Amino acid sequence: MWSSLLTDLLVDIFRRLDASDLVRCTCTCKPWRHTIIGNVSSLRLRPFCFDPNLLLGFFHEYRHGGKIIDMHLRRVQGPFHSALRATSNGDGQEKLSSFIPADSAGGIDLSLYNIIMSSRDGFLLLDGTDRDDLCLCNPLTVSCTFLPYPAFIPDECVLVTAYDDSDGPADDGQGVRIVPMEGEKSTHGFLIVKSQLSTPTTASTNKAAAATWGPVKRSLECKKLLGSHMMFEGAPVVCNGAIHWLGALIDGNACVVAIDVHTGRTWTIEVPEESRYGYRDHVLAASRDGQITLARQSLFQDCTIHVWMLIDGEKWTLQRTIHVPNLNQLNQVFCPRSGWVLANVYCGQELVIDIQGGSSRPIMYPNDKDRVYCELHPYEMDWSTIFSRMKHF
Amino acid sequence: MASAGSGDEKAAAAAMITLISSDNEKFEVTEATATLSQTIRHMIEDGCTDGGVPLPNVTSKILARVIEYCKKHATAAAGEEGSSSSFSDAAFLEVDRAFLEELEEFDDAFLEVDRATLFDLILAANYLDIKGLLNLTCQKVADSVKGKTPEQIREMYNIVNDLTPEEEAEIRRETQWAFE
Repeated sequence: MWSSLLTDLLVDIFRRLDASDLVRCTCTCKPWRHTIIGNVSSLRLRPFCFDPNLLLGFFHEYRHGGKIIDMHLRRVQGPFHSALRATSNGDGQEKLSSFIPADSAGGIDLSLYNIIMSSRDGFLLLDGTDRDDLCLCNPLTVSCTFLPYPAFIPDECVLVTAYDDSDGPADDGQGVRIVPMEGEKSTHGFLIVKSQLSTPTTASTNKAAAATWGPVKRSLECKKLLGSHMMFEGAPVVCNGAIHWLGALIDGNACVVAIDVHTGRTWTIEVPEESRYGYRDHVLAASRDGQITLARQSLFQDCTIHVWMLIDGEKWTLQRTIHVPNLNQLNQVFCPRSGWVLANVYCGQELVIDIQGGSSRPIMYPNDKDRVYCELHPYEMDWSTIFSRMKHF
Repeated sequence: MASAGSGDEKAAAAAMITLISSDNEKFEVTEATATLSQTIRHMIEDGCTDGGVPLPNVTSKILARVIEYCKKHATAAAGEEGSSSSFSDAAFLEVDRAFLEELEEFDDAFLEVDRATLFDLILAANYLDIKGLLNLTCQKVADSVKGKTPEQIREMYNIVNDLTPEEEAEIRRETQWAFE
């Protein structure tokens, strides 16, 4: 009886469950299993809660003399390790072209796109030093699509996926939007941000319709005078329908700048008073329930990280203090779906730290003597890919 | 309705609809109650409700429950309309809140049914296109599955396990993270 309920009704029930409940439902009987696997795009498989296993690794961009000389993935071991398959290229390095060979990319060698602009839910947005377009690809589904530049040369480009919408994935499931942005200085020293939203695009097939760019939106001026030398630091954090950056002001203080993905409205959030002094590296993150979070490393050699959370969009509260033995540096990298931040410790090892739970996990890397300057981009898996890959039986 | 004048009574009488269950039982309901079902609303709009609305997919037992739900929620809908059109001072909001709480309690009590009835209610809500009831019943099933093991779910819903032990072992091996 229950196993043969109409598909639409089963989907209506299943879309109310989270990923681990759904996995257990796939193990009850074949009709339920087939319904779940066959209707992945209609289910709300959004990562509402962090899952440390979703992190597959970090793409490392190696720079030398201001140019990117190499980019490849360094994996983090986990249960989904086998989900990302690479063709061997002999040198053991997993470059983008080993995940998406030229014959899957319309004959284009993806190693030409060596700059990662954004990474989210399995998708990567790439730019190339000598290219005049952008590439949106998904190494998990071995697919890519190329799209023209927006109307301006963006300072930042951020991917926003269907999971970031509060209503969950739309019927097409895989919708990805790109938000390019340009920061400007006006004569009054206000920060003005230009943004241009693209229509949802999908990179699930090679023949996918490329995104078209919407109108350029000029944001309202930020409420606060930011000074003329604001710098964006670290990767943006998308949370509650807005993109957030940590900016450094001319006086060395930090400030969070946010832009609403739908309306283009921008605003600033001051960092907590107590975190202004006595700290060095800081990283912007989000909490499990979608609150903006700031982690800062104490200036004193006591190997501690202080974590603040923004409550109701206005009040910072100190959430916890994490002690990390031998802590050297907190990286400005936050993994939005697994909830990790990255740090390195004296002795060359790298750690991922759960700033909410306080636990940490080492990631082993071979010694890297040639590391000149390296930027890291987390690469995380999405639930849809995991489910759509399941065997039907 | 009892306190309404004779003119209103006439109008109310004219707006009664007869629903006929699969086992031929007749139910007299007001149009306001019946139109919570989009399916019946369309039939009324098309003017094909004279002589009653046959519902061959719904038994009298289930139809009685569905009508119970619709009556309660039709009153709620009427109450909402009333309050929004008139002044809404604190006392009014208080009444609204109390009514919403009562409605929630009603829904909770309404869902205290066995699995077979729940199943039939889902089918009826779908067939009659009653969004609120479908939402309520599907959520009930989803809530009951949360945090349960496959065995518990099977037992709860009388699901026959048609996966072979090998297949089941493979699923568990590949998705071990969901079983921890």
